[in-house]
Amino acid sequence: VKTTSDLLALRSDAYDVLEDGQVRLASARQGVPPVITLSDDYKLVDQIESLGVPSLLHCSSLAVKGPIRFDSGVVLRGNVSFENPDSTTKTVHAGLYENESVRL
Amino acid sequence: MACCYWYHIPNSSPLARRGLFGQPLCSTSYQTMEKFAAFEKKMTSAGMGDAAIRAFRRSYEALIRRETGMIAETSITPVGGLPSIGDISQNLTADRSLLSQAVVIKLNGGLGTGMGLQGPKSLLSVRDGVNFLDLMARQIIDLRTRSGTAVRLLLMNSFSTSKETLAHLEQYRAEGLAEPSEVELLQNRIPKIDAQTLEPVTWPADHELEWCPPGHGDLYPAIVGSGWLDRLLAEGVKYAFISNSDNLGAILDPSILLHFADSGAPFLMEVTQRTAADRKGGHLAVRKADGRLLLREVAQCPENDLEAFQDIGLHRYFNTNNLWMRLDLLKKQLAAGAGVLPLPMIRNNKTVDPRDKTSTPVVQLESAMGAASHP
Repeated sequence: VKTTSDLLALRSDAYDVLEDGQVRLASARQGVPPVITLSDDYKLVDQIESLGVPSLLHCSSLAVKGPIRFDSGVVLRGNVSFENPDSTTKTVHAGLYENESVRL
Repeated sequence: MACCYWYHIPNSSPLARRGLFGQPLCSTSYQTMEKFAAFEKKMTSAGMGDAAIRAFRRSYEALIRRETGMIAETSITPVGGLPSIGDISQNLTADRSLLSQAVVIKLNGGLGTGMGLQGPKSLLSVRDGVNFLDLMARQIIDLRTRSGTAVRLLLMNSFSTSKETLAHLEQYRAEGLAEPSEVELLQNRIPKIDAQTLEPVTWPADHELEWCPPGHGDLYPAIVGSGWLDRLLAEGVKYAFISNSDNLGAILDPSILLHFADSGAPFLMEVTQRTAADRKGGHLAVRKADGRLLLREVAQCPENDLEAFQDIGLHRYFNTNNLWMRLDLLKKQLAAGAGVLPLPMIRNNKTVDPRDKTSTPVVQLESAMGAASHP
């Protein structure tokens, strides 16, 4: 774990944390980790903590640009991106986002 | 994942007395000795032992000889096929007699400053109430339970991570993972060098900033200087599995332990194929001069060769920094080398206060643990 992107993936359901301390990619992912690209707004741990953790179990790639916050219950599938050109934080509401580019 | 292993060059070999680029080492001049006296004094008064001082001295002498520590593309060739983990016979039931001779060492000296953390990176939470350190503790407890052996866990802490790490481990006292004398291997720290004068830098505004960590190559002087090497050997422990504490996938694999024990090698490195995400990480290569494997970190790559460095199709393997070491052979090697492993010096140019780019320019010397493959 070297970056906040690694940490976000690890904190999501893309990985299983087992009782014996082992961490494994969820079996549904068939050995392929999600590719996460976060803008400079998320370089620090505090910043991804306020971002929130969406479901990434079936997410191939996630790109986030600009200040946003995931409600609990956000599920991402396939290739999804979010962009907020403003400097005020926008919220991504609960629900399924599948293969789409969302401009907030 | 693949493994590679090799023997240390005996100290009596002419190669062991040559520098990284094959120049014979000149004998230490009087002037160097005089300059080093100030470092020795500073380290001694800060409580550093002989092993740490000797290792630093070796790097300092390389600096004085104006070695750059660079490894040019023309001096190496790419690494071909290595034995793969798939070729090793799988041994799922842990071998008790081997495991009872093993120690798991976690490099836990890092602060999560890159991610804006003040404290140890291993205290970063992974899930609610569970951090990296908890996972390491659970892994070792699980290994002990499954194998019925008391596999040792040692955390190589730095001055900046020791206190908070030990405080967190209090909750594992019942499992024997809380007592510093049982779980901690404390890293050394070394003086930053004034880039102009090559003397110890002084920074009255904050004396702490006069010191820096020596890189994980410090494992060798630290394990000797702390007395842990002799203690482990006396306990009958001879296989060490060493990995970074932020590598959650680095779990002692009994199949590799068996393979390593059978091989009789002093050192084994777990390597893996580089992916697009690993362009900046160090890679393995073969040194043309003697056909030996070496590691090249980005700080050791001349600027003109950066393209080749980042070519993951050319230099295919990177060091996971999961290493296996035979402690009895390490002890012999150290004895033959007057207590020092001849690790290549890595030079970093910084400023004494990293947040103030106008403060005194300094040189920070480092060495890499995995570089013990090519003394």
